Amino acid sequence: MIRAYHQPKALKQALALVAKGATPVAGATAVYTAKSEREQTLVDITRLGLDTIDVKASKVTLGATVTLSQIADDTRLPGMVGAVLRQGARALVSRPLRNAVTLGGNIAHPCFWADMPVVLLTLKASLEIQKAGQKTKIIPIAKALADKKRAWDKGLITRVMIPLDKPTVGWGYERFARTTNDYAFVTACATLRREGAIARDVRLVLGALQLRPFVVTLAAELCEGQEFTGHLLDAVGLEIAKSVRAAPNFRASAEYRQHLAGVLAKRALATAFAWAMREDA
Amino acid sequence: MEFQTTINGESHLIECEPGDTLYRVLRAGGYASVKQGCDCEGTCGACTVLLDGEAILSCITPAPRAAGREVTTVEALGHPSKPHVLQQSFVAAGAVQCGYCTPGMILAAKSLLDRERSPSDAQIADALSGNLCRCTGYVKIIDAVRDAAATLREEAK
Repeated sequence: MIRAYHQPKALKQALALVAKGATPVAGATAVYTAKSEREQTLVDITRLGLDTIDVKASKVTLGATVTLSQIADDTRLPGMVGAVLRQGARALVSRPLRNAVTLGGNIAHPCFWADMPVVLLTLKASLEIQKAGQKTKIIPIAKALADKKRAWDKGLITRVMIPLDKPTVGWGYERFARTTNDYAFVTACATLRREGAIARDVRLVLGALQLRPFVVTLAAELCEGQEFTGHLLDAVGLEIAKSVRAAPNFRASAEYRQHLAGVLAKRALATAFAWAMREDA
Repeated sequence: MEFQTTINGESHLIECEPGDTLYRVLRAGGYASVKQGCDCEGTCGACTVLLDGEAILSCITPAPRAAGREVTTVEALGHPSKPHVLQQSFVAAGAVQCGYCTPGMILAAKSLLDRERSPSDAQIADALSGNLCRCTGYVKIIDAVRDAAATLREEAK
């Protein structure tokens, strides 16, 4: 039950309302599809000027109310970071939904199948969080997602920053769902750098298995400094399938999704390595 | 609550509950082309309208979001004696069967053609990705959008 709907034009006003317990919304898809009977006051944050994408040499800064369509269509987003961001945004296949769903909302109201948190965790993004009467905080997304107490409670995620300081790396993104429009069973995103036949700086994130995406440190442990062969990838896939935990749901059993995690992890890593080879060509 | 908005070129003062969706307001205002196909979950696209030219799902869009902005429904596009080029193309290509999804399809396509006059088939499919049709399949719908794009390009010469 929505009791009031505010549309402030100043961030300060929005923060004051949120501090009093109002629910911030941008696309509002999470609130309006939930049809909650809980009494809520909504604060629409789409008129605060947080809908810009800024590309600098060292980082990309995305406003919290940037829509997934803006990201999917933005060819200024450079290199590997741009490609991974656009891929993650396009994973939400419905264009009108992409026109509504915002980056901040995708983080703040995390659906376990959401693609952008997977992408942002892979790219080592940081969140700018503002609260009424407090100094602005910058928190790595890995910390924000791991913390059960949500860092943005009673405040707002205002911007998302992604570093561009890495050398060129390869990337792979894999997602499996019953249909392109359906929620993912498993999502896997990998980045790495190549030195000859050796993989370096391997980073693998899995999503849709648990409430929040997580970094698979095992992938880096098994691949780092190793010759990148099919045999190695098979071993990594098997180890990941054995070690990850998946929450069962009505779409698939935990066992099936664990097996799938190994398969998709392997594919994402293989694609990332192939990209890295291509960069050299 | 009250807010001012423009619907199909006309200014309106809307009175609604804070939790009302744009779909509910439009239906109450007599815009019968705006349909409900799913359970107001944003999954079917039958409620698609344009908000400042962008296709949105009105069944999950807060009504006050339209304050100070321009809403377009298919009623604004044409009428039987002078249909919009997209409406003509849909008829000519046989892209309509029961017609329930058609207003949403046409608006999603209009949003695409307003920003891209020479869309690829992939761009057309992407633009229509939020709109479900359970009768025709999508081949003739994509044909119709492609034909409309060609006609618009001719007219622009």
